[in-house]
Amino acid sequence: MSNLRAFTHDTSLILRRSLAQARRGPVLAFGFPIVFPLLMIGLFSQIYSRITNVPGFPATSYLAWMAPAAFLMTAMFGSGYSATGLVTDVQTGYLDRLRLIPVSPAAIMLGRLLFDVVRVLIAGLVVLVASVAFGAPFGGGPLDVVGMLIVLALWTLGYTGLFYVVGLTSRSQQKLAVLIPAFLPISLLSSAYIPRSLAPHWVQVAASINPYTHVVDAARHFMSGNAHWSDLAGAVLAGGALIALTQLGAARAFARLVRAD
Amino acid sequence: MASIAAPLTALATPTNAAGPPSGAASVAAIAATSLSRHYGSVVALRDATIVVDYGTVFALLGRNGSGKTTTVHILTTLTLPTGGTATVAGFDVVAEAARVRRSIGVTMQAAALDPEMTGREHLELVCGAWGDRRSQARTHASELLAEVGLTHAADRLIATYSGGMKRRVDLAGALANNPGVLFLDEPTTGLDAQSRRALWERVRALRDSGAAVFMTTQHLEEADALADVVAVLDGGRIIAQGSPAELRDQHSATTVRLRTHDPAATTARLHERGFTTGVTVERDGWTRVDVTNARAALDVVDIARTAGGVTGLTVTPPSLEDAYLSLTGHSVERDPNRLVENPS
Repeated sequence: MSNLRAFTHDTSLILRRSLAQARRGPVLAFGFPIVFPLLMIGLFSQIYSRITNVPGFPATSYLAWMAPAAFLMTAMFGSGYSATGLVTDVQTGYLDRLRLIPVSPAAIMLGRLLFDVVRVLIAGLVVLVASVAFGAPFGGGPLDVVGMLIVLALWTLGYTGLFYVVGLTSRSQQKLAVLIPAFLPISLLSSAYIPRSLAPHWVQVAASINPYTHVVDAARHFMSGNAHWSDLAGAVLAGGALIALTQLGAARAFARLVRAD
Repeated sequence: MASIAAPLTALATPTNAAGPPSGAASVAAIAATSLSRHYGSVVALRDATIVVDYGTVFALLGRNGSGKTTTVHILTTLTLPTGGTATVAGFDVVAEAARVRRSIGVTMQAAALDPEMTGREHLELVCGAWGDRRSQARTHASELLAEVGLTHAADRLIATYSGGMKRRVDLAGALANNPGVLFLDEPTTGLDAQSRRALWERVRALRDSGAAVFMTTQHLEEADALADVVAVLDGGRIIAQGSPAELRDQHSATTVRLRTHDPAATTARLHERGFTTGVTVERDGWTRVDVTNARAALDVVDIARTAGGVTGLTVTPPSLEDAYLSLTGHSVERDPNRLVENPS
């Protein structure tokens, strides 16, 4: 087998393993990333419905404003899933077992990452459909849906990279669990829940340097059908930067783990 | 229990067949020279020199923390040595690690299996990783399951398996690439007597089919029963190496215990007749004499009878346990004051 074929083969082996595991624990794998965003849609849209009375609020309903955030929330909820699985593999020695049969170490990580993306994309679609069913306006076409999914995939890769780095360096599920509430400041200090124009100045500053803002804005424009190429570019840049930062760190930590010393 | 010797060769997949090479007599299966490994200031393994031939069972005997798992990790390329060299199946463990891995099968101390997979799924993953395409992997996995007698439980989650079954799955996975060299790290720890015997049978069959089996164990009777060569590991150092018989003869003695009315007189008589060393007076009228062979044992009994009569007698043949005790100064049970080695 050529190297690339072998690598793809190995990656698909790991991906299939993750799928088999997920089939056995579908609630954790697929249900979890859907529940909280749906809760957001249901509750937030009702609780904060009168926020539209604020002069200058740029959307017809609060649901319309935060639906893209709920869509992207699927990436951040249950984001520790694969990273936790990887830490378990390290602790039980299963990773050593995988190293002894010639599965390429990179394939072990990539297989899991791909699975992360797959399950988040599924969850994202479900949440998108649900928000539209609840009344969020969707002004785009099928290409915009694709755009949203691309943005979601990029954000997933970047965000879960964080969990991989922490998981692989600490090798502890507890330390990993501490990361989970990170989604709160990240999403609050962005344009996810409140238009930047209505936020206090320091929040505006924070939001402008927060990559999540650009990702949310891109998703929002796709959803309203007003997307420009610059949106996708901005999201790709922001997501790409985060991915580079976290995944490189994760790959290094993983390489250190499988190195024989 | 069916012998697995013949079907082993039938399991070879052409691209990955790694049985003992022809002309194997000239190449040792495992050859380690002055192998060492330290973690900071802790020396886990010191100056280990080992040669294992194909078609033999080699047992590394020692208690927890003695360096057994470290040795296995180095020879299976999971850890780099900090000193010395080693080749496995003719390949250097440092420079040709990937080739070493292709030539060996390994079962770990804690059968490192994913509890959320079925036995079949695990073996299909392993076979797939060795290069089988999907349908090939399915067939191959079924064969391996049959070899270790797990077909009936193949589609149950590994989490539901008993300890013995888990080790059997682990072993089946280790055999997937038809390796010429097998590493079994404490393969029977935690198993009941019946499972232990069954595994011993498999090890013998593997050896008879030409594989080299490198196993670690804490159990003296296991080393005694299975090994062609035993190395005693203590505090990271190999302090003796040889066949079980050699170790017994060199480091253990036949022990005669006599109960007599007058141990002092008995001792005096024994001294007169040439048994000057190895005579110990114990409690309750017992005298213990260590002798080198059965003839001497008979002589001792005769001397004691003429000296004053023998009211109690036991004769204990040389044992590996005695050899271990005399070599290491302690028994093989775990020392509660010593940290258990954790090479990860």
